[in-house]
Amino acid sequence: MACSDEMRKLIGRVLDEEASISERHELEEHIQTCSNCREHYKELLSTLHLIKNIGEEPVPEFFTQKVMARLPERRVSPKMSWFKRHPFIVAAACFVVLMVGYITSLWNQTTFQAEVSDENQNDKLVYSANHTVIVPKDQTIKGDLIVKDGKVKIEGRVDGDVVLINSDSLLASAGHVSGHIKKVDQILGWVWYHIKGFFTSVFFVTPDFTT
Amino acid sequence: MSDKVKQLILRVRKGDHDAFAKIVEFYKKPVYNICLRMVGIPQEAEDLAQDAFLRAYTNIDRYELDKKFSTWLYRIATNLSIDYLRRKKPAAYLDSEVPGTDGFTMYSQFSIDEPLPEERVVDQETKEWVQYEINQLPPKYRSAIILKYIEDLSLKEISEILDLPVPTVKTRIHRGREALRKRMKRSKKR
Repeated sequence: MACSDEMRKLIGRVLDEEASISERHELEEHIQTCSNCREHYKELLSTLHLIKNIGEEPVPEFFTQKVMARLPERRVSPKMSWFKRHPFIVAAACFVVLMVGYITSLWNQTTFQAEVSDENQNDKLVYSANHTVIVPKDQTIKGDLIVKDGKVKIEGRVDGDVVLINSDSLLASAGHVSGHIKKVDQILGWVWYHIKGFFTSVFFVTPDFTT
Repeated sequence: MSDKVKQLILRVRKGDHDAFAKIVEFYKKPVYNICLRMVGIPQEAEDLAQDAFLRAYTNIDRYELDKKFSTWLYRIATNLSIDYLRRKKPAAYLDSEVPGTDGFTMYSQFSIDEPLPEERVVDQETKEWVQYEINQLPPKYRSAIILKYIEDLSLKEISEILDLPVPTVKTRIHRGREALRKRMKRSKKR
């Protein structure tokens, strides 16, 4: 074909009804002299004319009735579909609710409390008045000692950490405790402590407990 | 979108079957014709059009009320038709007879140097031939051509139905009509 892509593009623009008046004139003048482009343009016009006039066919009889006969029952309530559409929000909300419930239940447990991470060691503890728990002189506690809302008096040894939640240590020289003594006074610190403990138990990692 | 259609959709969401029947009545013609021109076989087109309405019904909660309903519905119909064409062997089309080709025909109805008659009735034989030629187009050009020239939709609507940017739609229309021109010219000269 002798004529350039530019003429093709111009024909395209005219057919798309995007061409300006001067562009239309340019095409009309060109096809007066160029039989190739004239034929090309006329063929496209004929093609489009045929396609546009193929028309719409009537819809087969009883179409709507056939569709209606096939309709399934809609059981999904709008609420259910909302939950289905936002699975992550639902999962996150469930997690938050459970976590908050779990933590507040822990926080609200009996006020004075003392326990050792290894439950078998709990009977080595001696309790005295004023919410005080004593690690007797001749005893060695193996594991972490956690005291909540009370006082602790370490006369013996603790092979592990001592965690004091809203609690005080009456007598604890560092020599008696192989790990660290940590004081947790705020709920956030306390929550952080539990989350660390949670991950330790889930992933079996022993984090560095230096704070 | 008209408020009437919106009201009907809200009723469908509450489980109102009559409201859905009205929607089917209202849109069955364009939906059926999109499917018909896409696949070229009336029986298959009817099944596809029914499936399109059923799919619209089961997914009516996903339709966004602020968008045009016809766009959403035509999109379902177009996608179902394209899926159908993918599943089907293309060879089936090549085997079929070319209708109404006694040789010279079609283009000769329109003399090239005369202006085209605007409202000329296209006879049944010509329709079958044009449909046959549309069937030979690759589906991606076919959908663009049908939505543009048979359903007479805007480029923006077509781009939403096909989920393509407007320039891509334009390219497909251009290539589609160019491919049709070449084919129809050849069958004229046969």
